[in-house]
This record gives sequence, structure tokens and C-alpha cells, in this order.
Amino acid sequence: MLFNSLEFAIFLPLFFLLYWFVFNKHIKTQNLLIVIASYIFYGWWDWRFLILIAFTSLCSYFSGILISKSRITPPHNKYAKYIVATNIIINIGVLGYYKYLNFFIDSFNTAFSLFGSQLSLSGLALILPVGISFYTFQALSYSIDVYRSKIKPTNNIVDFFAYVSFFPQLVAGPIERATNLLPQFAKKREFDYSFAVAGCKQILWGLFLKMLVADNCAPIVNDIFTDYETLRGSTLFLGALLFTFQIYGDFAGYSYIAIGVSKLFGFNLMTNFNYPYLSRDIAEFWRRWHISLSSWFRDYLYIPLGGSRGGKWLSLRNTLIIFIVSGFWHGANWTFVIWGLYHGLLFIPLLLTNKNRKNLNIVAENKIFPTVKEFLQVISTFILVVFGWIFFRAEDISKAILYIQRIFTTSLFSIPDNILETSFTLLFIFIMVLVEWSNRGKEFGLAYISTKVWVRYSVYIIIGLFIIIFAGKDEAFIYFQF
Amino acid sequence: MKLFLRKGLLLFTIICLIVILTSVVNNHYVDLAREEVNLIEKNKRVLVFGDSQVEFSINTMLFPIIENRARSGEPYYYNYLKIKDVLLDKRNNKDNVDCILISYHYFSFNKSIRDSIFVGKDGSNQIPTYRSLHKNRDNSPCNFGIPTDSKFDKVVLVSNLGMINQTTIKNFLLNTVNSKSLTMELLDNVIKSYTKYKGAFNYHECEFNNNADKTGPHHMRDANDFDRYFRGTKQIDMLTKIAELTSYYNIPLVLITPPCHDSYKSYLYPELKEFNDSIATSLYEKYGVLHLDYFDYEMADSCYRDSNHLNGFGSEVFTPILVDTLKKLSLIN
Repeated sequence: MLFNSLEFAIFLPLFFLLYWFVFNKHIKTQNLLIVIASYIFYGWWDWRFLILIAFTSLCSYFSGILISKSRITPPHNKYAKYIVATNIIINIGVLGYYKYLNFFIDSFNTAFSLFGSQLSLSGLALILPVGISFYTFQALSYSIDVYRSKIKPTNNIVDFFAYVSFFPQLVAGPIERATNLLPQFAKKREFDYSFAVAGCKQILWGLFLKMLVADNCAPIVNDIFTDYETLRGSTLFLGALLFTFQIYGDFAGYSYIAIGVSKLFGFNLMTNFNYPYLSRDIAEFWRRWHISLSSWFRDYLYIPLGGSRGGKWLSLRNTLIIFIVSGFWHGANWTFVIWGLYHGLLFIPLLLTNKNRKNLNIVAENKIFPTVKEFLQVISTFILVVFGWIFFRAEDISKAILYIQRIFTTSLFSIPDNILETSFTLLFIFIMVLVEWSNRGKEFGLAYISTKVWVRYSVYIIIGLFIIIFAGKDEAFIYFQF
Repeated sequence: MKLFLRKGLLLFTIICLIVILTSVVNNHYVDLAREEVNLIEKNKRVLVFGDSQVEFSINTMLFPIIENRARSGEPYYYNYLKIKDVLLDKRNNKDNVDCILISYHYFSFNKSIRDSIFVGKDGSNQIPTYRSLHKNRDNSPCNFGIPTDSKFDKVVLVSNLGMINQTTIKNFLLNTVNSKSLTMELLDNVIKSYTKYKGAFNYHECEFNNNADKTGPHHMRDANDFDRYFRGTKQIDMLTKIAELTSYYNIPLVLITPPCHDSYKSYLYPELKEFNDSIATSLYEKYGVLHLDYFDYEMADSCYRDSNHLNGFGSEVFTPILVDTLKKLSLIN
């Protein structure tokens, strides 16, 4: 079920009424309702894959209990790490099977053909379960945190199933931590007016980003990336630029809707995007982009690998590993690996000069406009990010390189082809940038509008009407495939 | 909670009211567009609907029994409404109608043909918007003054906003129409009477503009791209409805694919042709709808205004050929 679909528009109010007016007496029944609703939400796409979520949930749930039990009985203490390792292998195995098997088969075939021998392993006709990378990582974080004694294992299977399958963030994050989300299922939720209103505003802003920015960029971007061989350099740059906004609108939009919907039911999810395109360097960008994934890799991969404790070179190695794995997490294609490596290489100079934690505050804090230096920093970081997205979007590496080469021709300084087609889209992007800039210190774009009621209501109504009238063609969320 | 629900309901109601109001206004325009049917004279025996391909190709001046009510970019939805009105016999001329011709092209099912404010999966229950505003434009065959090039986007854009005004029209005409043919006096006349304007300036002899090769495949993709605009079900549904309707009233429906210049053909995807052929075949099998495909019919460059539209000369060459075929098929006497 898509957030921007009619089904969800019916599902959400119905669930809201049941949640607050019918099942509000007991927390257990309320959590059970969440599980049922979440499974309906996910099963709407393909009910067969519910078994996979249930399996992932069960594995992590029982691994938590087994780890805890092994700790109580000292002779079995050492088994804890085997239990957590088994759970990791099972979960990563399932993820690998569905997401990476065909990629490895293709890569083997290609590698053998490069050495002149023919290996013709045939791939399997697998459907990639929506959101598998998200809920797998979420389930894994629980068993690892139990192993690290950061959280006590839960004995309530309903709570745990609700934690893994919580519908607002099930298919595209934020990838929640058990330490944050699981305890929220254990305590009674009270309806909070201001919290719910903030949630609604966040949903509205998410819909704006998704339906007006991302969905209007999508057809133009598809067109330009398909036809890149015949288009002008300026058009190709425009295509890359629009994809930069498309992917932000798509993914940040989803996250805002997810967080907003959760707020309606009294849950507080972690921030996933914090104005990443207003970053002054790549390190800051990664503190603001897909925060739940970056911090996941930091906590469960970077730090276990030694983090920055082993000196400069070890830190460099670990950083590169994180970026490459992070790229690979996005999809079974070398383009994602190169995208990750590209960002890793941009990050390294900052690490070597100890400037990777320089810009911790928001740009132009307490000011209306940035300084010239800040402006140039933001623009240069943004452009570096734009070129990175070309690898992310291209079908293969050679096409990405060719695309970039074709940008840098004399036609880069000409007027892009069919610029008129993009007018509306550019208008929405302009509104987005303006709104986000003015609210950059807040949780999301519409967090503060005005103290005047009529201004706020007018903004809500205008955005609502814009969405109804100018929404782009229905596009699935890009991150569903990851 | 009560306050939250009350405010939420209030906002929801306001948005609903605005949407309803908009739909009322839009429906008014739809009704205006449908009134066009009343302009069809009783003695007309062949009615033509569809988009600019047939609008430019079929010259009614040569054959007065034909009424060409095709309009540039008009989706099948509007064709359906108009044909329905004709067949409901609002003008009492249903019995005189020998057959109905409708445009059938490789972008007839283009998903981007947008005529409504709600974008749904199947396109049902949508509120039509800007197409009806095209009522204000000339639809007299072969006198159509607006070239089908990128400038056309301007009109679509402006129409999308519902803000067509005289300045826009004036600027648009000044930018697009050959200044030699357009005098200021003529322009003023056009603007003054543009709501009832009929063929006020003639583009009969316009030169061939090879827009396919000039703007390249990128431009043509808008119309043809099989992957990007994979066929919209709404247009297919509407054409099927038209076929159902005409079949019910026992009036032959003929799909017309006018000739196209070679420069256009090189950008056409083979899959698209297969797809269109399959739809035409299924319409023939179910409703006996004929498809007269002149896509590959060779005509001189001087017959084209651009790569996929005939000019006035072209229409003079093509229309007798078409009429002859219709006669051979006993669709007209």
C-alpha cells in the first residue's frame, strides 16, 4: 500500500478510529491491532511475503530470548555470540538470497567471460520483497543490542512483531532501533493534540515532497537519462539536478510521512533527514542524509571494525568499507558500489585533515542569509552530491561515465532542451528550497508557518489543492526497491 | 482529540468544497465544449472526431458531407462525450450519419494526455480540466494556425493554469505564426473575435517543418515513448466505449491513421506499432471497427506542415483518397 494511494487514504482514518476509539482500553489489544494493520498494509502488495517478515521477526525474537537465557546460566554464556551470529547469518542470508543472488551469478558469469572461459550460470526469477533491507536491519539491530546488553530482551511477542512490522516505517524506514521504538510499545499511549498536529503537518510536507517534487521530476529525469546520448550538456546537467531533487523528495517525503503517521498514534520515530542539501561538506551531508542508515552502519559495522580507534589508516579503511557497504545496501548493482566509493573518496580528505566534524550546526544559524563562504560551501557540496547521484541513477557504470562526459561539452552553456516542460517542476523545487531554508533549524519544512491561524490554514489548503491538481503520475517510492 | 477531529474535519471540508466548486466550473466548460455538437449541420453524413492528425488531414471544403470536429490534442474522453451527444440524437440528425471517423495514432494512448485534475490508476471518476478550454480555438480544418512545435507547450501550460487571456493569445500568435501571413489587422480581428473565431488565418501553404529531425528523438519521444508513457488504460477504455456506443447504434466507426513523413517514422518504436495494431484488431473483432491505416502512404514533402501533420495541400490530396476508400467500403454512398 502506497502512502499516496486511495487505499491508504481509507486505511489510515479507519485505523485511527479503531486505534483511539475501539482498542484504546488495553495496550495489548492496541499493539495487536498495530500488528494486524501492519500485516494488511504489507500484504496489500504481496501477502506471500508476510511469511518472510514473520520469519525474520521470529528469528530475532527468539535469538533475544536465547541470548538472555544463555547469560543467566554461566556455563552457556559463551553461546550468546553464536546465537547472535546465527541470527545475523540467517537474516543476511535471506536478504542476500532475494537481493544479491542474481547479481553475484551475473558477476561470476562476467568475470569468467573476461578470462575467456564461458560460465553460464542462470539466475533465478526472484521477486525482491519490498522493504526487505529495512526490516531486516531493524530486526538485526534488536538482537545485536540484546547481545551488547543495550536493551533487555522482550518476552512479549506481539510487541516485538509490532516493532518489526510497524507499518509507517516498514517498507522504507527510518530504520528504527529497538532501544528507541520497542519501549514505546510497552507503555500506554495518550493522544497528544500538538504532537498529532505536528504529525499532520509532517505528512502534508511529505506528500508535497513526494507528489509534487519527486513525481513531477520523475518523467523528465527518466526521459533525459534514457535519451542522454542525443541531448545537450545543459539538459543532462538539468537531468542530474532534477534527479537530485527527485530522490530527496521521494525518500525524505516517505520518511516525513512515516514519522508524521507514527505521531498520530503516539509514536516518536527518529529523524531520518535533516536538510541534507544545505550541508557545507560531505561529512555534514552524511550526518543529514538517511540518518537512520548512516548511524546503523556506524554502530553495527564501523565501530565493531575498530572505528577510529586504530589510527588514521585503520579509520580510513573502515570509512571506505562503510561507504562501499552502504552503497551495496542500496542495490545489487556496481553503480551503487561506485556511488558509495565516490562519497567515501570525498569523505577521506576531511578525515585526513580532521575536518569531518567541523560543521555540526545548521548553516547560517540564527541568520537569514548565509555568508558568501557558507553559500559557496553549500553549493560546491551540492554539486558534488549531484554528480554522485548520476552513478546512482544510471543503469551501469559506463553509461554514468558517458553521461558525465556528455555534460562537459560546449552545449553545457546552452539552454536545456524542452526547458518549458520543467517549469512547474522547477517552481515546486523552488518552493521546497524556500520553505526548507526558512525552517532549516526545525524538524521539517512546515514545522513553523506563522502564528496567524488563517495563514496556516491557507498554507494547508493551498498545498492540499496543489497536491490534488498538480501531482505527478503515480510513482512507487524509489527506496521500496532497497 | 475532539479539537483535533474538529479542525481536521474543517480543513477536509474546505478542501472538498473547493474541489467540488472546481468540478462544477470544469463541468460547465465541459458542457460548453459539448455544445459544439449543436453546430453540426443536419446534412452532414460523415463525422470526424479526434486530434490534430485528422483535423489537418480531412478537408471538409472539398466534401461538404463531412463535418470535421477534431481538435488538437483532444483525448478520446471528449470524443466520447461528443459522439454520445450526436448519437443521443440531440440534433435529430443521427439517422443521416453514415459513419464516424476517429483519429487513431501512435500516441493516441499516450498516458500523458491529461485532461483531468485527479490522477488515478484507471482514470475513472476524474474531473476534466483544460481541454474544454480549447473550445476557444479554431477547429476549422486546414486553417489551423498553430504549428505543432514546442511552442504548443506554452498553450498547454497556460491552459493548465486556466488563465488563457487575450495577451497570452496575442503573444503566442506573435511568437509562432509567420509574420508574413499575419498582419496586425488580422491579429486584432482574431483577438477580438477569438471566442467565435473560425479559420481567421490560413495556413494552407505552410512550408514543411521537419520537426522530427530538427528536434530529434527527444521531441518525438513525447509522443512515442513506449517505456516512459506506456500506454494509458484510460484512452483505451474510452476508445472501447466509443466503439461500444457506435456499435449499439449501428453506426460504423472507422479508425483513421493519416500519413506521416518519413522523418517521423524513424523515431517510431516498433513495439508501439504492434501495440496499436493489437488494439485495432481487438476492436475489429469485438465491434467491427475498421482501421484505415495510411501511415506509410507516401506523400511529397510539400504536403506536410510538419513531420506528422499534413498541410492544406496535403489535406486536398489525402481527403479524396480517403473518401474514395470509404465509398469502396460502402460506408458512404
